[in-house]
Amino acid sequence: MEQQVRLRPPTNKVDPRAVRYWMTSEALSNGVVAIVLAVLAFLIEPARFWLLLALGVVLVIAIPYIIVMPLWRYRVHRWEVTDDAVYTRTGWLWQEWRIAPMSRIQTVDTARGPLEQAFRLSSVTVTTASAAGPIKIKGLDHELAADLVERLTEVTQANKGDAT
Amino acid sequence: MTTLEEGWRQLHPRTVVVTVLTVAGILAGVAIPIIIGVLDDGDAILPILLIAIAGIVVVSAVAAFVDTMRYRHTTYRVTDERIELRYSWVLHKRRSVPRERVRTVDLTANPLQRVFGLAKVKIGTGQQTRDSGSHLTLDPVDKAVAEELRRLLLHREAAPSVEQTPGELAKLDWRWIRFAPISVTTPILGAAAFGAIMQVSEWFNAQGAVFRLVRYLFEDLSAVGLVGALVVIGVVVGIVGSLGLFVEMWFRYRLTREDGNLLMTRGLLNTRSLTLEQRRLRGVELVEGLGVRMLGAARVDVVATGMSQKSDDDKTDPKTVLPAAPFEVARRVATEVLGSPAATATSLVAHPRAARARRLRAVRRRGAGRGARGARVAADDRVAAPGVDPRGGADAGRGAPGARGVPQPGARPRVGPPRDPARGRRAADRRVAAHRRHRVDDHPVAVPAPGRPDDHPRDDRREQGRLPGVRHRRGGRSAFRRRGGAGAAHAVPGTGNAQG
Repeated sequence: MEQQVRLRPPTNKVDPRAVRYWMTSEALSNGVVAIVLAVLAFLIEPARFWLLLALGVVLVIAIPYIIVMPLWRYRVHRWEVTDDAVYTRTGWLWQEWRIAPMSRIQTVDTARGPLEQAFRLSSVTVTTASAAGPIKIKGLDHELAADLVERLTEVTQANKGDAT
Repeated sequence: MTTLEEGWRQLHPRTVVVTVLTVAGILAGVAIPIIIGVLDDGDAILPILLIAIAGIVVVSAVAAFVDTMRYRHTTYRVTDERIELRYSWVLHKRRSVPRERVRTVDLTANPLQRVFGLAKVKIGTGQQTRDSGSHLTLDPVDKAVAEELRRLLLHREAAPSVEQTPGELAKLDWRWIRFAPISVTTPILGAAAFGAIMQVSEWFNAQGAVFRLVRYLFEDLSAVGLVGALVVIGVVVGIVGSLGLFVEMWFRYRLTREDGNLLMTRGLLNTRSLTLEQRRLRGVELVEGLGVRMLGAARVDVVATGMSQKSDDDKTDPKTVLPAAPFEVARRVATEVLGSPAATATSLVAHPRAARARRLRAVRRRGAGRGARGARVAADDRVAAPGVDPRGGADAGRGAPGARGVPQPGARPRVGPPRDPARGRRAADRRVAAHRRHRVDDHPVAVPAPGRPDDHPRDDRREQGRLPGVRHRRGGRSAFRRRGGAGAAHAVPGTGNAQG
């Protein structure tokens, strides 16, 4: 098996802070559900048992998820930018490798939500004319992301034409 | 105004006024029926009115605040190399598009924006995603600025289109309005009108009264007559509606060529001006919906990467560059849009006769006794097989003065993959089976752009059309032949070139 030529994973890992960012973000979104259930359980006497049961299920699923998923994701997520292409590997249970040739890049975006700003992270979105949608590199240090965008825009500018 | 770095510009501050007026208008529109509904009991009107006004003011204020922040934190700049858009409030976003990648510039303005001299600019590249961020949108800028951006972004030195017709390709002919009611919009609008009446009367608890009124008005009619009368009313309403829609959309329609690019302007209340770079044009489609086809009309769509999706805020695809118009007009416009008479004239070869005969046979096999009708549908269904029609030549040349010239080097066509004949047949069978429905949903028919030698083994396909031992059927089906000659259309729109 190791004899064959294989596509090696992209070299760069995302920023380690991304783990905490993912944990926080998942904790927040699951926390909202848990809090709503808890409040309802407190308020609605007759349905208390069932609401608490639902809350229990949510917690049993969410807590391991909040801990495991980000760590796993961190091990999987990788990216690399060469002179020719952008490579990414994303996902955790389901993983996706994507390669966007530089000569096909249409737009380069960065986006930082409030939580990402708190962790000084940034995500880079690279759109191509592909129907598969844009490539996203999430959880980059925001300064690194800015440099990366700068580099990507310069390389894509060097590629003339409409890139399809 | 905050101080800006070199070259960065802001949106237009009047956007706040427009947003507030829009929000307030919508809220007032919602509030009035609610107030009337609540007032049913004959209460004092003042407190309710005050509550409503207070609500409108508060929500409008929130909208004003949000839009102000959006305005203050959105900046854009156009450099020699790229267009950049920055937004930095709560969410930080930066978007950068190389100017080389820009294909379309779409200016739209709703009536309110027009009153304030604003326009929304959508700068399109070749991306395919449907989410809201798929364009670089400047919403809104001053109208003059928008116009300037439009010219600037798609004006490139060394435009390759010197051979093309300058000036106007088409403009609105009011006679085309006769095609407007012959479309799916008519029954939809008619049904929507009934739906709206029922909905509104329900808000006012007056549904019963509406029914009684209808009964009263058509007292003398039987149940069947009543239904018939309602259908007639619905159709009339639908026709009026689709005529109105046509006026709103296509008022002052003009299709022109400017700096070698296509420029389409139209609209009565909501105006739109779409600029499409000629170099990015991959072909045109002549689309004959079921209804307009019966009246000998067709509309013209352009085939270009990034133009596939419907924009959210418009009733037609931005890719439609000519509304349903008489076939000869559509054909002329298609030819001129391509900028190459060769595409519809000289390089067209006959629809493969083998395929045609095969379909006729397929229909025979399938529907004994359906005879002529089935055959005609099969013949109409000329889109599947590749190959083009030499008889198109005469038609295409007609009415296209000055459109002759060298095939334009910039327009790179894309031709679909070669068809496996067996697959074609299966597809044909399917279509025949579903023929009625199929035609209703605007079956697209494309005229291919001029070919590049390396694109496709065209000669193979020609050969395919002349298989020995296959006879071309020439029955007395005039429609069959007319369509064959006038329609001439195949080739799959440009796919296969957009993989990232």
